[in-house]
Amino acid sequence: MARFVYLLNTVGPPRSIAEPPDGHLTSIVDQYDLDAVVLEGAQGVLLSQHLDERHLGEHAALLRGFLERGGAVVLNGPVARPYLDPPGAYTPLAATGARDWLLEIGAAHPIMTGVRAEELSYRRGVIGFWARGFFAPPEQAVVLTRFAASGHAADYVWTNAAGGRLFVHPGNDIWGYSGDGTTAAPIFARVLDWCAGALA
Amino acid sequence: MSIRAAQTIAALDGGLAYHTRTLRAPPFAAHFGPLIDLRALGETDLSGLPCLMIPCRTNGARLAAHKAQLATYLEAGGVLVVMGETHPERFLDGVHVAPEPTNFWWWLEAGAELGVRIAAPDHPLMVGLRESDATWHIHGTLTFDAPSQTLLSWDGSSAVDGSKRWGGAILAEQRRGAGQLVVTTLDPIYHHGSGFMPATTRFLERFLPALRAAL
Repeated sequence: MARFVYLLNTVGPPRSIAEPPDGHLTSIVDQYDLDAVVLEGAQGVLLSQHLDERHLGEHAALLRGFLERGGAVVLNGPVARPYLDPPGAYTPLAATGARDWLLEIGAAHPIMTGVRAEELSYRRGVIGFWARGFFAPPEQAVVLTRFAASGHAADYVWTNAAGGRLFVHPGNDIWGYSGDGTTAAPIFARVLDWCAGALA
Repeated sequence: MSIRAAQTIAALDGGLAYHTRTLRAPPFAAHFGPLIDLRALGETDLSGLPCLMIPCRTNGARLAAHKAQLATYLEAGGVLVVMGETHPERFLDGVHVAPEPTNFWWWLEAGAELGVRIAAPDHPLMVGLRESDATWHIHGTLTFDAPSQTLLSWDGSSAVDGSKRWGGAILAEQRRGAGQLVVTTLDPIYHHGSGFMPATTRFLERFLPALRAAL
């Protein structure tokens, strides 16, 4: 069990943030209140696709320092203003046809156990929710999912020398799938477990 | 309001990825200006701005602190355009949103229609707009305490619960003092700026020039 800071920039938090899985705890903090004190004692910070990226850029050193001291960062979304490196800049994959956004599972990793690629590619038959572009992963990253046609990484995990952990997801917030009746549903809980060191 | 077709649309910039991609990048950046950092709204004099847009999914809880400022802007003759998923009931009196569960898979069913209707085809803001340009998702319907004009409506045909009840207004306008309030539950800036749903780009291609021409 670990405590995660969720930066809030919407009217309310999503349900799976207000009621986190696997016994984890979330501290829901207004994004604009982010400072070193907010991150004290937290295992990780959860970054939504709906955050003010200009403000996050102003706090890049704080986020980088958090990772460098062994903290975990869960970063979501097709970022328009890069605020942390890695993952750096996001590159959209312009879909000329649905096949450009088709995903496949990458390395064997406990976050992805039993996850079916087609249930990431399609949500109720609609393609694109999971990922429509990519961040080039650092060399030591473990690629969890990739685009089948282009080979670009979609989701990846990366651990730095200090044991800081980074999970990168270039699409809609992963906690938004927790209520889906698909193999995508447990991914958020497993990411939290991984950040907490409970998954290899 | 003065009629100057070259007038640009002032917009709040919440710093969200989809705000950045819509307000600050081609093809739509040229329609906008000045851009106001949401954090600086309280210190910004809105009085010289003919039109102010609150882009999709701007945090309505933050705007609640600026309710009086926005009301004053409208009363004094401003055009306030409030886009979808902003919770306008938090920062505007007399506006109510009935949220609608999102049917994002409606188009996979044979013969299905989302059910968007242009209710006021002759209105300046509807110039060049086709129903297909406003057709992606329904997030809610609007009601107002005072008289309003519905420009786009939803006929309810794609309700998740299959109820086939009448939907309601999804884009409407209302006179407020010397100004004009335009509110929609459509969220094209979110989708365009997230690279997801081409109809939303077509909506902006038509709506933004129409809005500028109407200023």
